[in-house]
Amino acid sequence: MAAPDAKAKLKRALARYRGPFAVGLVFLVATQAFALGAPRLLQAATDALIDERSADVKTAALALLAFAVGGAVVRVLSRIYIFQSGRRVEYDLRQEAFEKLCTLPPSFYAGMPLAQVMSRMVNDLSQVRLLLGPGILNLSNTFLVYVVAIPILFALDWELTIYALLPLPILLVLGRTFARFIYVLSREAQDGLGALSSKVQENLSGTMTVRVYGEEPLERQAFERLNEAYLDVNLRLARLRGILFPLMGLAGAIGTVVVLAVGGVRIADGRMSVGQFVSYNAYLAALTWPTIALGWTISLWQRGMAAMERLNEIYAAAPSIVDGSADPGSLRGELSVQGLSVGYGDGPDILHDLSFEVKPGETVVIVGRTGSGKTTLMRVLTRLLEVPSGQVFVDTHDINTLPLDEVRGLIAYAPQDAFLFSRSLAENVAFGRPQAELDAVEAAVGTAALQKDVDGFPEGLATMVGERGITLSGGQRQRTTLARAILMDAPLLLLDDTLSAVDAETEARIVAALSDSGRRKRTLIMATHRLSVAKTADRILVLEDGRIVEQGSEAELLANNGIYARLHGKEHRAA
Amino acid sequence: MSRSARALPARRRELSEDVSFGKAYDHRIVRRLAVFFRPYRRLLVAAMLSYPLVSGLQLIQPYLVKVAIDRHLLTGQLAGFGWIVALTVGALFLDFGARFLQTILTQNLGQRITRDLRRTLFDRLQAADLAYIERNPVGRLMTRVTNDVENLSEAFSTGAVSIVGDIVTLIGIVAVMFSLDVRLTLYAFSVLPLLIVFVAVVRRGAREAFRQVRTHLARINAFLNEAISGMALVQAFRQQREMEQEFAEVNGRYRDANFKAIGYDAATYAFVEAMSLSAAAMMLVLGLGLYEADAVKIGVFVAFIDYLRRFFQPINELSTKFTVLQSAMASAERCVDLLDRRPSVRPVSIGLPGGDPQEVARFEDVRFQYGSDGAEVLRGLDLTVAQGERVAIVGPTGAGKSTIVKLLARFYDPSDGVIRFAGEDLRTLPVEVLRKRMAIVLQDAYLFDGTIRDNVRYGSPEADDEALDRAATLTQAMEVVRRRNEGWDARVGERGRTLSSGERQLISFARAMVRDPELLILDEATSAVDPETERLIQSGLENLLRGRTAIIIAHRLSTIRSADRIVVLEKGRMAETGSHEDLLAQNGLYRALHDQYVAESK
Repeated sequence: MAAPDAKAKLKRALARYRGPFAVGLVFLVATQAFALGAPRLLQAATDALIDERSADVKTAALALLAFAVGGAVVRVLSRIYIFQSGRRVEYDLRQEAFEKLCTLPPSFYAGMPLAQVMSRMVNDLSQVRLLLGPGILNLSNTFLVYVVAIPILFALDWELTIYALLPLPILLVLGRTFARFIYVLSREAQDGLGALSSKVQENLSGTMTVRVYGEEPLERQAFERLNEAYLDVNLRLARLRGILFPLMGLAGAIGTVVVLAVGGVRIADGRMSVGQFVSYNAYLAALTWPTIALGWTISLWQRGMAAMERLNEIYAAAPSIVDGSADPGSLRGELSVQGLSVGYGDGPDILHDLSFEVKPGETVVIVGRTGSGKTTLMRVLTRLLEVPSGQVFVDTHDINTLPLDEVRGLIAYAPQDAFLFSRSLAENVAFGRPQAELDAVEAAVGTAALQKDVDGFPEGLATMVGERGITLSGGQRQRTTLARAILMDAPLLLLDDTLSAVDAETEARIVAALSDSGRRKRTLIMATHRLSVAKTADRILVLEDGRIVEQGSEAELLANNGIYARLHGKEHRAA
Repeated sequence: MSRSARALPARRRELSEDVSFGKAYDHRIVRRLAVFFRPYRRLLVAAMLSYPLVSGLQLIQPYLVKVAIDRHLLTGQLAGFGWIVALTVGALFLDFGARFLQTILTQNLGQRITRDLRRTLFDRLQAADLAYIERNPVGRLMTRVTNDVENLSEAFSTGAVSIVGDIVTLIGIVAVMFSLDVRLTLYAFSVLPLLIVFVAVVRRGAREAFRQVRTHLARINAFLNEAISGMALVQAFRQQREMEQEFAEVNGRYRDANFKAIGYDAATYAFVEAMSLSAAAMMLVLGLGLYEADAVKIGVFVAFIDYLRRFFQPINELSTKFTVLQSAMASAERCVDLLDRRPSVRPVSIGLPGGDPQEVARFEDVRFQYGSDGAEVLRGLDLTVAQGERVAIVGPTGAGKSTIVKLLARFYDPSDGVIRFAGEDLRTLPVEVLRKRMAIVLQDAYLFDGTIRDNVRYGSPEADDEALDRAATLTQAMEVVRRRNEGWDARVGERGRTLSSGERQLISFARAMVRDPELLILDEATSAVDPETERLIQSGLENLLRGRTAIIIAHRLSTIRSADRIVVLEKGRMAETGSHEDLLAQNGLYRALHDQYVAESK
């Protein structure tokens, strides 16, 4: 299904650089003209030498020098034009893929996890680039050499040429076959390396557990097994390569032996000059390499096209979340959910028939066990998840009719998994407002009860965090996420279990700061396991299996003596 | 003046990348890695011998052509010409064999050495200080064992190590040419100074260009990895436009770096090709006189044309090989850094005498700080846990609670004071023996990709199924087994992601139970779970603790109350100790913590 699209996509991407590619090809023709003219000059010089025509030797040699210089110039130009155009197309394809990725919702990433997206953006794209640069260059080169050199060879000596060219088809088949085998084995080796990496990653992430349980030997064994398997596939690959390349050389050289044997006799007979012998050999050599390379070039094209099709899964993915176009004026942020039922993609519904309202300035707490649908509801409200029309309303506007930007601008969201970017702490906090002033960042850090931690970091707010920086504790990460949401200063603040890793003492401080920090009262929606937070809420929604089973203030719910009351009693007793 | 958050971290861009380039050969590093060659000495010698063999065979063919032309073809004496053809065929097959051997030997050597290196590096990581593992991101350490070693292996498989062989070939060609005719050789190589000048001019720029390409590719990958991981955030915070612009910059820099590299690459390739032709032209023009004076025969000219082609071909590949070697050397340096890392926690033969075997754990005036410049976490801690005693440790964040666990399991040694286990100085016990006698349940239960059985048996490989059943039943982990169709054989997935956090905790209880340890150390999980799982955890925990000596870093009031003794930690010292009732009556720090907790949960 995606096949014609991938090809069309590639054609369109190439078409933008039609000009430079064409120029490159013209230079390539010139390069080949110089390259294939040179043996003729060598022949002339050699024959002139034998006949002791010194003037002719000098003329031919000077022409050879001129060809060398001219050939070098056009060769440089052809490579620059073709390879640079290839890189430009690569840039465009990568940029376009990334911009597309920026529009795709979490449901897309559920189907294509990070590793797979990365593999497309890195491995597949580089395969496509090989097709665009070396692929185009090699194929054109081979074509040109064949078109020019073969007629010349036949003109020089058609009979000899038939013998000398016999090994070429063999070379071609050999090259193709081996290329396929090597591709398969390389994939296997890639997988082997992937398995090794996963093992090391698991071992390092669980290093405390490995050590306290003294299972280093078990870990070594597991690693050793994978290590040996990887060695094995690499050695197989080595054997294949060890045969392939010398075999190619051998098959190519058979032609020269034929030329030596047959051509030698002809020189002795006087039917061939030494100069002709030299140039004949040179033309044959010019044919050998492109023929060997042709096998590789063909597989380069096949692999490149296959990679392009995988890449096309990104280009062709439809963003299921469509931007609305209604102009709502200024939104107050009143939420109304009416009979919401929604799931991920084609999967079963996670939320069933949810109805509730949130007035501006209210604090609403959503409680429910793991898997009851709290996070899904959060995603609906931030429009990270597509919802059916007529179920979610903001200030009486159907959420689907509103521009995405408007909805997301209304809401600041602190997701459950506290993700940090490899930037400074300040940049992480200011992620949604890169131009925020430092004072504002500091204030948000203070509200999120992060100041004390920041003071302990080597460079305060300028400390690098994430992969390249220091490692924050789970609680510190959550509070950074919280500070990031606070800084947005949005009318609605959504906290998805953001305080689960901080202790009760810290949590109390943060909640206190959140409720009395507003000049105007902020709407607060919090999903949580902890009932201690619930008592501050205007309203509590109790979620179970994707349904709201109870809602009301804590007093109402306790009086109701339902699920909430039971949960409350349990936690209280547990304490 | 507005100072925005963006303006703060000026240092970000210059932060050292994991992509560094330096010399293509560093004697110190090569010598350090020499031990890895030792087991393969014979293979190494054989591989080394194959290089001059291949080089030598390369020299034969043009020489045979020369003999054929001068002795037979131009004189018309075809007797013996057949021998020359036969010799040529023989040389070709020998060449095939020699090259095959060369590849196999070199690859065997390279692959086996890198296999050993990977194993050693992995072992080093198992033994490295916990501080080292925790300080470095997982990705970076993983790169040592995988990508860096891979770079070294690449040097073998692309034939970059054959640079030596190439040099032998070059020398061989020059030697044969000189032996055929000195003057003609000098004429042919009269263009060589040009090549030297060219290399001198281009080399530094080319090296820098290729370095830039690799660096920028690494940046693209890092950027993509992160941006895609955080895509939901990017969208929720409406930062798509900014991300796209940032990516366009990273992407564009990579493209531009490539443009430069393409230029250098094309120039080098074209120049060397031109050199080959120019050398032939110079030889013909200048050698004309030699031929006319009958000093050099025509066959020598023909052979020289062939030799020149063979001379310039490896030169063309030298720069590529050089780049691979450079990157391999940089990787080797990083590997050596890990190889040379020695754990700071080492067994001591004579400890401090005078412990009481009845005291399972004892801290005597223990002081500790992380690193030499860190703040002191423990400042003279005294703590004794008697046999059968259940001690709960409470205190505010940063009081040093989890440090106690790390010291008891001997991930670190105290900077001052003594820790004893069953009366013995902790440092005299081999680490594996010490850890075998205790079980630690961590806050964040880590499960390994495998079955539930694998995970419960983890650390007790000798336990039979019956023992697993018993432990799982008592700790309520059986419930997790029951919920799965495959039961014990259900796979838990990477990090146990198919299990909920509560279920993971239950599995980790069972794991500790199977060990039946002398001392149980428990860092209670803080993240809340649903009430049903909570109930299982409470009951499983109670069974796990029953009749056991235990140190619990407690967060739940119920766990704290059930302890025989509570230790309140503050700023690295024991502030209060006693039973729940005693401590409440004391009206101190414990009372304050307790009241706050109770207020929170009402």
